[in-house]
Amino acid sequence: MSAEVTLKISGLKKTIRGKSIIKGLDLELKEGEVFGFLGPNGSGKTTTIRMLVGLIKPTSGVIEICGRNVATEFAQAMKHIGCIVENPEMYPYLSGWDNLRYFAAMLPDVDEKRIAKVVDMVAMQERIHDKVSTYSLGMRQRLGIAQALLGSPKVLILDEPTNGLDPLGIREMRAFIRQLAEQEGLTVFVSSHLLHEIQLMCDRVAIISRGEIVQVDTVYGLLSRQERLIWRLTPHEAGKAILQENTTILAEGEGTITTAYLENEIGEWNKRLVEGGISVLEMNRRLPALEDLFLELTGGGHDV
Amino acid sequence: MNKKSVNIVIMLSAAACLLCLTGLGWLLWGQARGVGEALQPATSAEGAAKTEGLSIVALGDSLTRGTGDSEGKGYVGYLGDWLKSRYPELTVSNLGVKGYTAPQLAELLEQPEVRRQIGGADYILLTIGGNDLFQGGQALLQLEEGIEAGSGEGFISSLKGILKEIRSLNAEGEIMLMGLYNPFQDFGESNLASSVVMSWNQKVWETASAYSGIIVVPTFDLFQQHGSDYLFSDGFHPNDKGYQAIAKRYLSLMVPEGGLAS
Amino acid sequence: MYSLISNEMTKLIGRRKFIMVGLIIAVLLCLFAYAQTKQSESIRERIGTSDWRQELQQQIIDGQNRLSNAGPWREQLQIRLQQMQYYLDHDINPSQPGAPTFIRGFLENSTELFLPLLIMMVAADMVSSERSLGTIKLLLTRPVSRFRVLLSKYLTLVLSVSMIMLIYGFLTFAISAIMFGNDGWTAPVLTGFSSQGGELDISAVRLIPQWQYILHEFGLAWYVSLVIGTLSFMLSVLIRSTAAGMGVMIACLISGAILSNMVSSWESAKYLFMVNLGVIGYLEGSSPPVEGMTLSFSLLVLLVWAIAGLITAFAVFMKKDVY
Repeated sequence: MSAEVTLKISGLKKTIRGKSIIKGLDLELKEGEVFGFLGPNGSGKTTTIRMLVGLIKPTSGVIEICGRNVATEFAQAMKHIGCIVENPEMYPYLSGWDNLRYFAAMLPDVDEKRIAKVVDMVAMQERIHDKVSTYSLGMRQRLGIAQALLGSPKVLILDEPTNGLDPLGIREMRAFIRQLAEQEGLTVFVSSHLLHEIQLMCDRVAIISRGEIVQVDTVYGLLSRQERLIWRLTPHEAGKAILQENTTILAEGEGTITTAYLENEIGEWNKRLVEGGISVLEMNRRLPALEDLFLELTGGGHDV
Repeated sequence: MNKKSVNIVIMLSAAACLLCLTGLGWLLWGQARGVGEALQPATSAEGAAKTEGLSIVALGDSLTRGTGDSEGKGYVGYLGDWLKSRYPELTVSNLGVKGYTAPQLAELLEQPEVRRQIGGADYILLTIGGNDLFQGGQALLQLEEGIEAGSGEGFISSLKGILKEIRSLNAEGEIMLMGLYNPFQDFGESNLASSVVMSWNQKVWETASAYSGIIVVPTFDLFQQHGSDYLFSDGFHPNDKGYQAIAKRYLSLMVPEGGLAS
Repeated sequence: MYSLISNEMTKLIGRRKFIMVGLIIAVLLCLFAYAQTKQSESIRERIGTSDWRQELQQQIIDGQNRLSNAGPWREQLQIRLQQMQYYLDHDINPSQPGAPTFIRGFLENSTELFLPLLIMMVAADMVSSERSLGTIKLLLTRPVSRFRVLLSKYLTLVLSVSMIMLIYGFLTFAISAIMFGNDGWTAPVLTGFSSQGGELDISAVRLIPQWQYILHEFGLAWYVSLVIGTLSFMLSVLIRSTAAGMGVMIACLISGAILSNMVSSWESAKYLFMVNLGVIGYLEGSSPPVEGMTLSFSLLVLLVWAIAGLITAFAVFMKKDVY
């Protein structure tokens, strides 16, 4: 896929009062991709997102949106971005429609038709003329998305988009985000501290911890790197000894031995065991829970 | 919300903004340009301020003003209150200023509006001399000196001027000049003070008798009888009771047939 | 730019700011108008006439009697009396009964505190409310530069100040016309008095029709309001909490009102903006808080403060990180 790069971050750093908050991020996001941005609270997630949308000025580094530098061509860059930063705050004393019209007035070439269309997209037709102060959190979230989509952006930045939604709402939101990426070709940058959610909707994931990106990969790639194989052998001790000669034992349970899953070598290990007169009762390939991976990568200890 | 109403508000605001700017700009321009048309001084209409009802103009010092009265009415105020039931159209103008001496009063009489009011008055109530005599009531210790200075021809000639002026402005209105009382009768030198005040009153009466239609209203006896009962805590000005007693005396002189409920 | 301003206006209208301002004005106005009628009634009762000359003469005499215990206000009162005497000598009624005279007096009394407070209701939360609502994040992530965002807010403030003046003018006119009648727009008013060392200087006195005088007053009141608005606006950018910003501003206004009465010996106080708010006094000819202050001086001081405030506001707003 030779998709266009829509969001490019290079060497992004932020220092606040001598304290380094973001220690150099590099990322490239492509068209039609849902990108998860994962990190515990206090890892620099929110700061990064605020730098992406120009709310915070980076100490150094460049952010480009569709080739436009946020720092030097702010207006040009922001044309291509739609975003919700944290909660989708709107003016509570105006109706949903007036809010949208308000934000439309700040965008080039957005007419009433387009407003009606985004209201349609988020299925808000019924309540759109009520005051925002009467909306539920889910409705505000949807209105927030409608607002973000108003200017037909190329990049959609969503900070914790499923925060405060009920399970049904979360599922709808996920489907909606995937649909936007697949059908409209949007790049969606989603931050979350909920791994499960990221796992279900993102193509790629970056994990950030203490201001640094620990890993960037596809969800599958990230997990498979940590894939495990669980053996049940008889006799146990002899089998363990043979495995130990070939690889490292990562863990031992009740009658089980865990090793890494290394596709090219497993055949060989198996052969050795059989040659050594050991019967393999069970070979279980297991993807670790993202949680485990996450804890491992971010060094645990954080509130996840 | 209606887009139209927002536009209307903006337009109105812009118009208001322009209007205020005009006001400001005009002012500054006028200032920069300097003086406009010069004003003609004293274009006052001289004609007498003759009103339909009874008109009283009170002139003089703190006694006219009512210093010492808890409500600040003074004898003029009480008199006005009582006369009002008989003359609903009554106008009372109290032009008394605390601390006024005869020369100061003479100066006040030069003002056109004061002259106009005097011209239309039926009664002109006058208290003057207290400050000339006692020099503001402070000079008890130098009573004798004060009297030396005050009883001189200075005061009498000022008083003459004042009475003459009033008469020339208003030939018919009654002038009621208050005689002085002795505020110091509770002091050791009471007798000295009394005799000084009496001789002062005598001179005033002599001066006044040269003009027509002037009543000198005696108050000496009122305070002689009631002493500190009628005096305010400053020991110099009358209190409420004192002013009421003075007013009663005025009333009896102004409404000789009596019968006025007080 | 127009759409941005129209956006800001939408919010102000959506929050019913102007209606609130209007209500406050109306209530205070009724109180003032009632007090005014009572006052003139009591004078009339005392001297029993409606002849303005007699009334004015009485006021002058009353003032003279107060002179001896007027304390620090002695000089001011003296000048006021001399001025009244001047009116009387020239046979000009300084308070021709009617709506225009009431507007004139009310406006003069409200520029230093009342109007600034009303303006603050609009200006003090223009930026800080966006921050407390969180909408600032949406506002600043539009394809519109921060400069333009703040500029549109400021221009809206200028318009709102004008709007408040309009509401104020309309309401004062409506209520006073009902209560006092609509006469006296062309009545002559004297302006250009100044004072020099406690003495009234009449060399520049001019006669202008009352409507023109009122227009001048509105111009000055608008100017003062705008300066107060600008400073509140700056505080709204600098201070997160609207309440704190308002508190600071109210403290300034009140200290100004107090200082104006006692700084005559503290010369450099004349460079404080709050001592310079009584610009309508110059029109009237009352003596300034510090000897030697003139209309153009005060306007200039206010201008400098406003420009400094505006520059600070823009500099901070454009640089500040938003969390």
